[in-house]
Amino acid sequence: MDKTPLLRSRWYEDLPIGEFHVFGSHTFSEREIIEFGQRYAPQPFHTDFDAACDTIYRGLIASGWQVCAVWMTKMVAYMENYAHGVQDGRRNGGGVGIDELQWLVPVRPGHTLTFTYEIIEKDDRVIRDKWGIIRSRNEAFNQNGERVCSFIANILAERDPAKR
Amino acid sequence: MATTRYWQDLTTGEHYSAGPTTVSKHDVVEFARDFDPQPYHMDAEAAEASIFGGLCASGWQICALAMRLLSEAVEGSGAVILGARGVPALRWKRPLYAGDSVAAQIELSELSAGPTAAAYGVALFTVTLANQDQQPVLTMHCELMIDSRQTEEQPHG
Repeated sequence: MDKTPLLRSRWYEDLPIGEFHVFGSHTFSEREIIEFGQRYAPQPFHTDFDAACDTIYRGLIASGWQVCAVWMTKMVAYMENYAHGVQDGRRNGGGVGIDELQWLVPVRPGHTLTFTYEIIEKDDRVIRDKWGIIRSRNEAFNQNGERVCSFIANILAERDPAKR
Repeated sequence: MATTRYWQDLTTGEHYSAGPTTVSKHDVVEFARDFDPQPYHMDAEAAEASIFGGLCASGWQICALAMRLLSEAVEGSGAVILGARGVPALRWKRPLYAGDSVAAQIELSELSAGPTAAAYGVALFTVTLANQDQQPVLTMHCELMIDSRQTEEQPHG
């Protein structure tokens, strides 16, 4: 059955400011928080339950980079779902950078985050002849509706060859 | 072990360095499989056809690595990190290819007080991660919460 590409296959020009998506939710387990901490962020409040209880957090919390990495996982899965087959590594230009990244509320074992994405700005510069920059506001909310993380992502999208 | 330095003992303009550390193909693919399963982080052939021109690490893996090097350097100087508050800006300057080595140059750019009665002050660090050819891979401004010396008036616990 044909799956019509809807999102990922659009050109820079086709992406409207204000477009909003909910990428999905993820529940953070104690095991994955500790595993991420041991591999990538070996601070006591990410790696060891007892040591974490002696910190200002009074228990284990996920690394802020784990929250961002899970956002990435959710975004890739979400986009792939809408645009199966176009993710061939050529159309996607990757990320330029991040602004205003804030970790606002600790993420603890058992917490469930829901990730949202909204296009807020398009940069008119043309990068390396074929790319434009899409600026999006990304937020994560926990099971109590608290905003726990927020950042602006600057990501390249390919410009329409017919309009270059 | 360095003598403990509290937030009040830190000075704007202090410089630190950390690394180098090498990121293997295994490291790149493992992180990508778990968090960023895009062809240019997973598959050498697909990566060559991409904008990056070779198998390279997820940007988030580079961020975590930069934070790790920053933490090592700051804690190596005797300060105690209580957490990270945010990253006002970061830029991925060029790909970190599988097999590359990166080192961090770090400067303390700004000091500001934490919330009233908090056990910490905030330090803004500017981190530049460069590869083995001294080319910048990442620049990052990062705010860390640094343990501060408690004054008499402040309650304990």
